[in-house]
Amino acid sequence: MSQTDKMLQIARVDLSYFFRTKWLLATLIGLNVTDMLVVGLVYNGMMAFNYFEFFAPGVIVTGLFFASFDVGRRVHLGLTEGVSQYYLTLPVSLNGLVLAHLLSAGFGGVIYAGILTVIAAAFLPSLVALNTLVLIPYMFVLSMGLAGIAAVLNLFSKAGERYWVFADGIQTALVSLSTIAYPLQVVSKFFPSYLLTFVEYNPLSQGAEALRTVVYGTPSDPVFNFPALFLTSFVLLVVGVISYRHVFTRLRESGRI
Amino acid sequence: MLLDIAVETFGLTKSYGSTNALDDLNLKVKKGEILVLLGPNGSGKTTLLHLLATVLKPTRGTATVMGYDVVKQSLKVRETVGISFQEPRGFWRHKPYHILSFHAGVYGLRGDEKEKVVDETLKAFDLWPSRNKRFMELSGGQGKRLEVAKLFVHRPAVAVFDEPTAMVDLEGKRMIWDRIKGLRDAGSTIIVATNEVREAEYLADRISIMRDGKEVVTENLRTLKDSISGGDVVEVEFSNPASAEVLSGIGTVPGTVRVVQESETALKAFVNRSEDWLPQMMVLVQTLQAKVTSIRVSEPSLDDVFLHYTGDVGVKRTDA
Repeated sequence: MSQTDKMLQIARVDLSYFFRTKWLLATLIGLNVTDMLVVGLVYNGMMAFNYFEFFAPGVIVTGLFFASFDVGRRVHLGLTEGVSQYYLTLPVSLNGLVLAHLLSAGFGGVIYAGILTVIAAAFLPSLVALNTLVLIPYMFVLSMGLAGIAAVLNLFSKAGERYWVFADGIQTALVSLSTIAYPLQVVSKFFPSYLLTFVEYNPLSQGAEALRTVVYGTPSDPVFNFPALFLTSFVLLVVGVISYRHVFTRLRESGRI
Repeated sequence: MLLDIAVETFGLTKSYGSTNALDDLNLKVKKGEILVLLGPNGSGKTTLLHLLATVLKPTRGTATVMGYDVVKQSLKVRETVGISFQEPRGFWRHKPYHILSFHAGVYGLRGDEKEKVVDETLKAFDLWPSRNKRFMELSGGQGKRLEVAKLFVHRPAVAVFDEPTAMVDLEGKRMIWDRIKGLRDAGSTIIVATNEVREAEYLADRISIMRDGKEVVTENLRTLKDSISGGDVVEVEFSNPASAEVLSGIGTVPGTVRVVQESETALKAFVNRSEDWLPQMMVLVQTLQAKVTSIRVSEPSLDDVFLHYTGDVGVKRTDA
């Protein structure tokens, strides 16, 4: 049995834990759908452009972010409940274990975002269905990259409730400093210029713009480009690999997180 | 490395700050034996098991498992060794069936074979009725049985159990002990860490007593008991009051550590290896024409051995 097979098995069991938390999932979907339908549709008449068309892709990417970011919660639980120590005894390499967690984040993000895309399709048909399929690999890489941020949190929040505080802080910052809810022109009125570069290259902005451009044909400014999304995600993914390697090495060396 | 050695440690040390949880340990475990690590809390038993299962990395020294180095060949070691943790490990919402199924899958079982092994293991460990309960809904004993059962899914060449029957009822303990022996009989090498003397007595081919991260002694039970000076107690009753000559004569029999006169007609002798001492004592009393009416022999329990090696007390007898 190859290392890849074992890695995929761990990724599958890790991912299954996300989908086993039914009430968490129901709450997340409820919140996202509420955002999309209530905020998006109600604001539609109040904004100077078709707000639902703009906002729905943003909500889908937010969902992708939450789902991929959940790997950090699972790893945190694994570390505190001793499941990570169990994983360390399995016949899989350290890199395999790290990649298994990041892969599960990638799959989780794409599956969850896919559910939201199906819901959104009832109100906002995609430009070409095939385009959605083309975007999936990019969303997968984005999802793994976002998990890299969660890995950094796992690295710095050793124990107790700190993980949740850091996670909330990061989520608030990433969602606020993005073009999920408002176009860059609007955001630029409220944030200092040095933050605008961050807003533009924020992976959530990149993902939302990708959906707007490729799937729904409603590009905003700045127009999205694949290399930027891929590069940002890849850098975050590498950071995630390094962080999780460090987390598990530290667990092996010090016996605690 | 000798061919009959399954596990060997070389100056194995694990430190947490200035504390050595394991201190320069040199231990050998023979292939196909059950070695029980017996020691008080904090003696380094769990640390040793975690090092062998590559959960922890040594601070100094190393160990080999079936010839593979735990530091340099950790992946090979993980393919060889399986560990049952002291605390059951599983995500709260996973179910026993899925936990064992996952475990089997990672060790290469597939399809019908996997299903068969998982079903049989669940039934063997009385977990079949609970197979669809969530991990968090299992009782302490059920969780522990599930943790132990993992090693019976893939039957590793070297199986290490950390307190395998903690939280398990009496019937369950006996069942687990018998299955561990069965695993040894099927060819696995077993290491069990426990501080339960009865468990050690039931399971061990050899016992390694640990204290403060060090190995104090490793022997089989018989040798350990014999190693306690004056550990065997022989109570002798005479038909008539024992003379001073008899008392002093018994004190000179080789192997006698101490003689205590209990009454005019009874004495208690603390001796080494009563099986060697008794025939010599009988020859003596016959020579002195004393008539023995009863002899009762008791050997030290493993509790006595354990306390002898781990505590600052010698063999304690209520009347000694």
